[in-house]
Amino acid sequence: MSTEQTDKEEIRTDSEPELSAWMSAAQAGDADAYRRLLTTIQPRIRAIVRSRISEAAAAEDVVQNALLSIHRGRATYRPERAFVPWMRAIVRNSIIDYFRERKRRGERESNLAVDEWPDEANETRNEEAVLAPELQDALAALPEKQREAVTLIQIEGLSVAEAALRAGISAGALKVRAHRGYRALRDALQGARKEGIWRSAEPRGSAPGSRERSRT
Amino acid sequence: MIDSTNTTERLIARLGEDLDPVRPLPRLRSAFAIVLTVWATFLGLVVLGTDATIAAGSLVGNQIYLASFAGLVLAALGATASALAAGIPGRENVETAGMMLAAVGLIAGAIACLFGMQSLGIDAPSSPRGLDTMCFREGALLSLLPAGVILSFLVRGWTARPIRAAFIALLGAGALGAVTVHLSCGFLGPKHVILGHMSVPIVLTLLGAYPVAVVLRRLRG
Repeated sequence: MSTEQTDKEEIRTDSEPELSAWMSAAQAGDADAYRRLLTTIQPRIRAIVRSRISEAAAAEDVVQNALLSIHRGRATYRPERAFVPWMRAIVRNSIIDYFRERKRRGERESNLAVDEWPDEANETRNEEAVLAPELQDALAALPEKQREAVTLIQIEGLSVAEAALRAGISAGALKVRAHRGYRALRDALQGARKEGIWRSAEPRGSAPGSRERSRT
Repeated sequence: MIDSTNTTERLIARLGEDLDPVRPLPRLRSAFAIVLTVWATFLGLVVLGTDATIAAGSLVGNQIYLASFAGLVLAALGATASALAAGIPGRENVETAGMMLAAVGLIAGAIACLFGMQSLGIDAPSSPRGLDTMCFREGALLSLLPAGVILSFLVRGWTARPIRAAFIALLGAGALGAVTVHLSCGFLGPKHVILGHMSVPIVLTLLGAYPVAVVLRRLRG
């Protein structure tokens, strides 16, 4: 039995009035009902997404984007209409957005979380788990919005959706900012390397103001 | 390595913390009725301020003028319904049907005018100097109010395809403005109807769709 079939059966057995009631309560500001709703629909959203996107990390990103979209579009739900078709429309569009974005930027750029983080930073991260002073300087020199995006994803280890929520912008906009930040960092670090001022990272804890990375 | 499912759980927790009460959008048919009521009130004021008998006479006495009017009305109603549906997930059927209706209306209106130009040939009345521009400008200005009302719904909604939503919203608003001009103009030249009336939704859409789409995309998240 395919994942999609399983999902459809699960949705058929869902208590639609319950989901609808939770969503209505959420629209009125009931956080508990909202958490119950999101926790209940989360596996179903994941099943829908995984039936279209096989790569686990990308699928989870889409699940998170769908949850974020449900959150941002919650005013568009009408209690007299069925909840599941409304939810499925948002999930479907999140999947379409993912494929559009992948097509637009190419596979390499669609997964910005780790791949575009400069190599020097990866070396530092893996070996010493601290940021080299050059990287700290380059990060400090970034425009504020790019620095925020890079910091949220790479230093604080948030997912794109979480970081977007924190920054108060869309996931797409956050990715663009982070991508520009990565590029600027890479250029700055390559420039520093060419000038021969790149140094190996100091041992853990010895670099002043060093920050640990929580995301690997 | 952080388990991505855990980050989803964390996201759900954060979304719960971030929850503010929201007022549900009006029903699609209510939103449609609101847009049309605002527009009809505006239309009434505009028509009252002009000599409506000329336009009424043109509508009754000239089939091409009447056909282009019907085309514009179809385009206005279809595009408005489509634009409002574009802001509500799960209403893609209304969105598509409205878009089809709008396309049929515009094409039918344009064909009627072209047919009129061809059949009248050199007998087709040529518009007085500046009339095309004047009607176009009026139509564009009269589109602003319906555009504002439609976009206010879209801004509160969640658009899956911001470019398409912006395109169809401006097409609808432009067509509503063009209908208003059509009902207050009355000049029978088919070329004038194309240049001064029917071009309003098209030009408005071409000029405004991208910036509006950018705004909608940012709001959508």
